Amino acid sequence: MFDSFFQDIRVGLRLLFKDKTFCFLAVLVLGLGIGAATTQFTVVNGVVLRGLSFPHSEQLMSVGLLDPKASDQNNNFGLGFIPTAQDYEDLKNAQQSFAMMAGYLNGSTINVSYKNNPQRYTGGYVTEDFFKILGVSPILGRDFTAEDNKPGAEKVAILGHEIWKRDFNADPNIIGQSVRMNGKAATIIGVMPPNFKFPVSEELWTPLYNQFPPIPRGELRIGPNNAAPSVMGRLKPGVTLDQVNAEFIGLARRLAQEYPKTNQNFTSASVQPLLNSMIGPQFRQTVWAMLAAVILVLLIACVNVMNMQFGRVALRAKELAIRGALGATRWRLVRQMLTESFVVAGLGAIAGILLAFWAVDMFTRVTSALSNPLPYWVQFTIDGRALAFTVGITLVATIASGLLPALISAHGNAAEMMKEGGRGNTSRLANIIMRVLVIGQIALTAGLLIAATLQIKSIRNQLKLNYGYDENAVYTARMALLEGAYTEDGRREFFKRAVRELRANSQFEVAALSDRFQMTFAGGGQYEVDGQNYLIDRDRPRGNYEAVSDDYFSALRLKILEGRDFTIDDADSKQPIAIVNASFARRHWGNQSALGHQVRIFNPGQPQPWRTIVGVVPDTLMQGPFDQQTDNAGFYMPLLGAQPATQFCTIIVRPRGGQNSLIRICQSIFPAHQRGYTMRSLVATESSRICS
Amino acid sequence: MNSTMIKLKNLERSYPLGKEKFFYVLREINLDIEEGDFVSVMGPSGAGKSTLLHILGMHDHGWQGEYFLGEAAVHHLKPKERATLRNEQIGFVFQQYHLLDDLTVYENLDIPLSYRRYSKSERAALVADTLDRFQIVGKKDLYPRQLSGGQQQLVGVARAIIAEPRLLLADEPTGNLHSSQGEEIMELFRKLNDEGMTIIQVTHSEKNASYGKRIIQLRDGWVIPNNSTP
Repeated sequence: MFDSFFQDIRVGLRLLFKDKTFCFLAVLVLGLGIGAATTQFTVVNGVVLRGLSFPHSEQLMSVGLLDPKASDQNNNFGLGFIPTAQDYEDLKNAQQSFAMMAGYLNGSTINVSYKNNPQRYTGGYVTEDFFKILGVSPILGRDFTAEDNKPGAEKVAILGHEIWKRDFNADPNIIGQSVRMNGKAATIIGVMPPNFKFPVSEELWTPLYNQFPPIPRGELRIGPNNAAPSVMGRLKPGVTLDQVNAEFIGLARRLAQEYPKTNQNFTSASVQPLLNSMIGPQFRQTVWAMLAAVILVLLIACVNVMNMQFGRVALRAKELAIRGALGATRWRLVRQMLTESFVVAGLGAIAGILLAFWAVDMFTRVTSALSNPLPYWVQFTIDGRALAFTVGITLVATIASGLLPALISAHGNAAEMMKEGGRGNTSRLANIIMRVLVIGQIALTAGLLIAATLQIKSIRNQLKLNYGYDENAVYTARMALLEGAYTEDGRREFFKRAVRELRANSQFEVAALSDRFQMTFAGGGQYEVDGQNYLIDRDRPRGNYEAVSDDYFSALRLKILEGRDFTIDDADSKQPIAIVNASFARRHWGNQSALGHQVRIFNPGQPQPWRTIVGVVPDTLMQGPFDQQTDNAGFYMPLLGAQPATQFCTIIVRPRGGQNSLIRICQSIFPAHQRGYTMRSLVATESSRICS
Repeated sequence: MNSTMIKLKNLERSYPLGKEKFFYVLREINLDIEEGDFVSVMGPSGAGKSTLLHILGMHDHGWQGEYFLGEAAVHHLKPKERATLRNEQIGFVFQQYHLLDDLTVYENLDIPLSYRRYSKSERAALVADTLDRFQIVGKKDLYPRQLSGGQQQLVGVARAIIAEPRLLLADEPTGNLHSSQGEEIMELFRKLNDEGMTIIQVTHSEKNASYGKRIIQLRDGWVIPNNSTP
């Protein structure tokens, strides 16, 4: 069996090298298809399949509460969320399914100054069981304790291995050393193992409640200290997903009954594998869909090669008839033809794997350069599973490209073939199938082209979106004030001073501030307007809202249609006011004036003040291309007089000069505190120096 | 007395021409061929000689009637059983040699064995014996295109008998050879027949037919009575 298999391979190779054009084209076509499929599978493998490398990671679950009446988007796409740290505490104390639970805030900016060398890190605020749940311990020092996590305890931090080596000179005596963390004294108590950056790309961890104490029910308020943690748990052995979901749905209902003021909407819960919560369903669907698309491309490649094989069937018909006359069974002939197809597909696979190594390397470079990098555990490497996939698709390609030609070839009438001039019926049948294949190939290709064209059109439409202003004429920079560096009033004064300095510079025509992230993601949610009775929560309309400074509309060249602009002194503490856009005014008051009417954000946990409408402005796309609303209705609030004061804001300038001047001016206004910036996003890293 | 090796009863072969119309290539063939016989089938072109040979060689299955090969009733056998029987008992020599162009002489001889239940070492031994017997050891690594017509047919005959068949079928084996090469092949056939192999050849040549023991004449698909002995 093996002997004849190797003999078939030997003969197959000999025939292929004899027919170099066929060999080159078939290997090229299959190599491209297999390479693309292997590359995309490597992406799927890294994002979805490989998962987390912690012990028994299948027991790790994410926990969230759901509002059954809310949209999928507001339920975090089915994953739910934990509204407050107190909800997490109540759930943790009542549940029986998890052996351990932990809460965490990830992606936070934590500033650490060691030996007068300040650095900015991406860090995580975590509860004391965060590492224990994962089954990972520090390689130096100790883990967090419940004492560390208590509000008012001495501040402690655990370093990531990479920053320990890079910024702390891999000092083996680092444990117990003091640093300044967000302006306050803290002690290094541990160093994590290499390549640990859980959950995304964290470099440093510090206790959650020490920084953000849980606020008891009844005292909840919107603000920086109302930190709602992500929650994960490790299932007890033997507990199923259905059981834990049933338990948490019951707990959610109980909380909703006991605390209707804060929890009445959250009557359900979702416990899902942690991996699902870290890679959202849309992203997972996208990578699977892309894999399906490239497999379709591979099938088209197979059909191409099949057509070429059919071209060879007529040439080889007599040879196969002779083999049949010499004793080869039909199966034996099919096996030989398939072996030859396998040789072609195998050479294609070798070419494809080389191509995939190159493509995966390129893909890794591109994703590493993203401003929002993928979680550290998402690694794009061609591992054993990816190679097994390649072997699998190579076998599929062998069958897809070779089986039909093999069956047709082996079907020929041996007697007719071997008579002088005999042709048998193979060529005619092959011709019919070739025509059908060409039609099928055109149909498949057309389908893919249509899908790709629609995708490109969608992207072009997004690029051509009318934002309501000339987005190329303004430049933005995102700024963040460090945690603990300023008081409430200090933050307001800082931003007022910053915007004044920008306006004082003759290079800028106009400067303003907004809390909208990268001029794309404004706030959004339910709100109320005066004179309306809302019987149930769902009756309240949804809209976008954004806090902006004075001159914001001038910066965007938006004309005030009615009323007035904000002033730098407008403040919620004096009189809460709002400016609405035209769609908002039309939605609620038709052709009548919106001025003097009132609006407020709906927040049952912390009732918001009614804001008097003082102006109407034209519409803009407040959520960029991601706006889920049917219209652009939205309103604006004064940023510099907001309660509480903002910590983050986006600087918007309309420069008089070109891009180079903007960089120079920004450098002169915010000296020596940038660790890197782009034209569209300048991130201030040492804001304390801005005030100096 | 030799036993009957082949018995044909009312064997017919036809091709459909239209609705309920057929073109008959062979009509009511009744034939007995004994073990160790050397039969020459003769007749003009289109008489059905090659068709008869391919039916006997079980390459053609679209016939009616009865065909016994030794004790086996071929007409009752399934295709797979026919293939097994053919592989065990029949060798075939073609006018066009039909060697596989991309295989060496050695590999061409090995091919029929690879389709039968021989171990690798048995195959190697049989191929080596055959190369020696036909005195073509020096050509074992050559490809067919590197051989003369006579040498190619010699390899064709060697390939046909390498699996030690009881019956050798030859379809105009010297048709593409010049006279001296043809004589060489016919002498070889005589020798094989002397060794006990049953041979049926299709030929146009009276001279080649004279190497056999019996001639069957075909005309328009019919066997002409008065079969002659050369």
